[in-house]
Amino acid sequence: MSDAVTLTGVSKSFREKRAVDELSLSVPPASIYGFLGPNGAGKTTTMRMILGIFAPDTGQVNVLGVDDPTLVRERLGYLPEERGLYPKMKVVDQVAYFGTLKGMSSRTAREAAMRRLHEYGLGDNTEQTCESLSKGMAQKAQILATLLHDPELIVLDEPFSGLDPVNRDLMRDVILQLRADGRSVIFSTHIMEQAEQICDHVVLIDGGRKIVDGPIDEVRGAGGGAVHLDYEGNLEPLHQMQGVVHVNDTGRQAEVVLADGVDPQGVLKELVSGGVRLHTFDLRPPSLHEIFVRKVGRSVEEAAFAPEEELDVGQVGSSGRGAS
Amino acid sequence: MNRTFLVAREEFWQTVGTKSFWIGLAAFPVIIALAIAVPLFLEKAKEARPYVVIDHSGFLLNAVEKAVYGEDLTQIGQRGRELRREDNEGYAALPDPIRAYVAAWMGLDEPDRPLLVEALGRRAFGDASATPFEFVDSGGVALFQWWEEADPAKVDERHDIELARRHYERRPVPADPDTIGWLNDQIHSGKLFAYFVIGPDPVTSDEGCRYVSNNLTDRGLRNWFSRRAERIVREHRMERSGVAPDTADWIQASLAFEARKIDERGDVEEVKDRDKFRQFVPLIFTYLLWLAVFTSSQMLITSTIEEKSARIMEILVSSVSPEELMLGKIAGVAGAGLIVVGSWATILFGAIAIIPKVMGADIDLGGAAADPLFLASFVMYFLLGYLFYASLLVGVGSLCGTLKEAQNVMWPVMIPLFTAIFSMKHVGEDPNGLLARILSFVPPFTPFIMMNRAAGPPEWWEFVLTGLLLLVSIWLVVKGASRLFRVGVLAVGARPGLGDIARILFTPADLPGQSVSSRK
Repeated sequence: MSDAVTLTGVSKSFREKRAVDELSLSVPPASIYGFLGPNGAGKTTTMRMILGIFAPDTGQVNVLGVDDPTLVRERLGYLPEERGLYPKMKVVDQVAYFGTLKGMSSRTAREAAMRRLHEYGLGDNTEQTCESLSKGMAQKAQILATLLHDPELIVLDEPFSGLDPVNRDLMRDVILQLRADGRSVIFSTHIMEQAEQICDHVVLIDGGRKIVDGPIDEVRGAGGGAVHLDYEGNLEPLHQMQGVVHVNDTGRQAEVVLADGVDPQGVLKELVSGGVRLHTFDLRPPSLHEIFVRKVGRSVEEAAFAPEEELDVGQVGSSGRGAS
Repeated sequence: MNRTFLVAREEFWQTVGTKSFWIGLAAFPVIIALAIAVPLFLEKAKEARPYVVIDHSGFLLNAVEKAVYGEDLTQIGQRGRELRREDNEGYAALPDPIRAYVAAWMGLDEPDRPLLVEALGRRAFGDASATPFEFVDSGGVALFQWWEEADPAKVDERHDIELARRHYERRPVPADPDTIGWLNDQIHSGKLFAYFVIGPDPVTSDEGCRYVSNNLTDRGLRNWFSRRAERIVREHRMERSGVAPDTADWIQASLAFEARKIDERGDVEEVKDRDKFRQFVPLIFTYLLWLAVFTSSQMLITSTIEEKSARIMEILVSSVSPEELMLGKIAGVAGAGLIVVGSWATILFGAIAIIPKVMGADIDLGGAAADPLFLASFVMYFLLGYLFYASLLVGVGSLCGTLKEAQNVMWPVMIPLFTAIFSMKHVGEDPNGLLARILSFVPPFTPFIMMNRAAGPPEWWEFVLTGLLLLVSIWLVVKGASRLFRVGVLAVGARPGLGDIARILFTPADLPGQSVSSRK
């Protein structure tokens, strides 16, 4: 099977600002692919190009084997970060409407909508208007609407943001099930831990440029060794220790990143002699957070505080210039 | 299924589901009905205005009363004849003196009837001289007595006869020594509406003539009374200067120019109802289009904003192209708007067809049916005009984030709309003039001006050319609007300035499909 998505040297500028810069990547079929990076890194713009909402200024976007994503719209599913429902529309009509826009017949769409709504516990709410749904229910309905037409490639922009814990788990299960069904899922997040949990592949993006991409184990494995701790006590001495590259300390947990070839036993010894109480001492590849910090020189959180690079009209307006 | 159609269908039902749609649908007939009913009701509910006349001339009041009696008798005669012909029961219900009078009145030839009325008046108001009409002697006294004593409100209600007293009720001059003081008190306390003072010699001059009232905005009584008094004074002046009554009538007769027009064959023909129809139909259509655009502008402009604020846009544009979405929106919302306007038009034309018949006038609407091209051109300009403005408004609406913003940017679109209305009188008067011809080719004005010129009528090639031009400009507007739309729907943050809009409109298209594949 060929790759679900291949980007080759794709760039996109808004006015003078480069949103995406020479980005190349490929999304393997039947995999979960994470777009990681701070807000304004160019994740959404890249996704919009994959969906055919924007055209790239330069470079090539190949989606499901076709060079024009608009030709395969009906095989794509998209859940934008900004998502909503028509307030006055009935839930079942709403879900079915999005299905028909994806090429389903009115009847099939309606039947499928009914079935899915029942499956996902909204069977009692099908005739309600969308505005009367609770936030959690509305989120479910949005997910259903995205998947109603059984898309082959599903693009989810920050799918976990704003979800309550129950729906966050539901979303995770949905994503895992999609992969199990042989579908490809691209999702973006600025929370690295989420990606670590479920992604097969990741790409780290900052300022529109790719920092690193590949299977998640490869990406993390290339970073050398690291020790994860659950602890009580003072980690200060570790910072000065030879062979310790970096300590990501969150108070009761910490990630101690080691230089290549450094024996973790030395760290253990130092901790014990320093009077630190250890609950776990775990050898693991470094986290994506650490990879990001090491490559970019600042954390995702810090990057997110950099001047907002949000899309505004003026920026989009000049999009044609590059295309000409 | 075609996605544009899907979007249009959805938009249509969304719009039809809104309250404002139904309010719009109901408002027009309600307004029309109120516009007709309220004045009628107010007129009916208006109580008779009590007034007093102090006559220092000794003759004028009497003469006016006599004239009023004559007017009432003429009306009673006509109404009685109507009842006799159509409603036997109604005729039988008339009081005896009236029935006797109507019978006598109907027994006369048309030109003799005013003479009978005049004779009755003369006898009632103190001229005992003999008359050739037998009824004056046999029924005159009873008739006059009935007239003096009848309750005008009941007469109106029962027999649909409006005596003058129904509106203006004269009260006798009080026997109080300080008449004026008493009258002033009455007016002050609202018991009296007004009083007239007639000077000693109104034929010579109006010296001493006065009208006193605290309500100077309702001039009905003053005009009604003074017009009658004036006519009588003029007759006296003619008489005093030795002009014979016939000569006086002749002098006062107006000079009427009868309207004629030249038909296609170059012959002179009479102005028929059909021509009147040609004159008022353009007006109706022009106002209808104006009203249609104006009232549905809110609907059109908000349809995008709501989607935007409900954050549905991005889901939509991942499924359909902005062009499909734009066209679907325009078709759906405009379709709903057209239903509203269509129902108004039906009501309006229904009213035009029915009301004159009810009122007894005779307007031949067949003239319209005999002229299908004429009506077809209106329907065409109406639809094209509506689509033109609908696209503009949806396009503009897609640029805005909030209703408040939308209302601000709506005004530039509304300016040509108002200009078109302001130019209507001029274009209607000079349908083939230079201004009219030039404006016909300016797309925002085309539908209005061309409809308005129909009485001209314009040359056939003008119809074809302006129609095509309008089609092309609608296509351009849809194109431009979908470009604005594509940018507008995904945009967040500041509203674009004019410069941004111009740049968006005039930079090459940025269609994903086209530009990606073109670079392969």
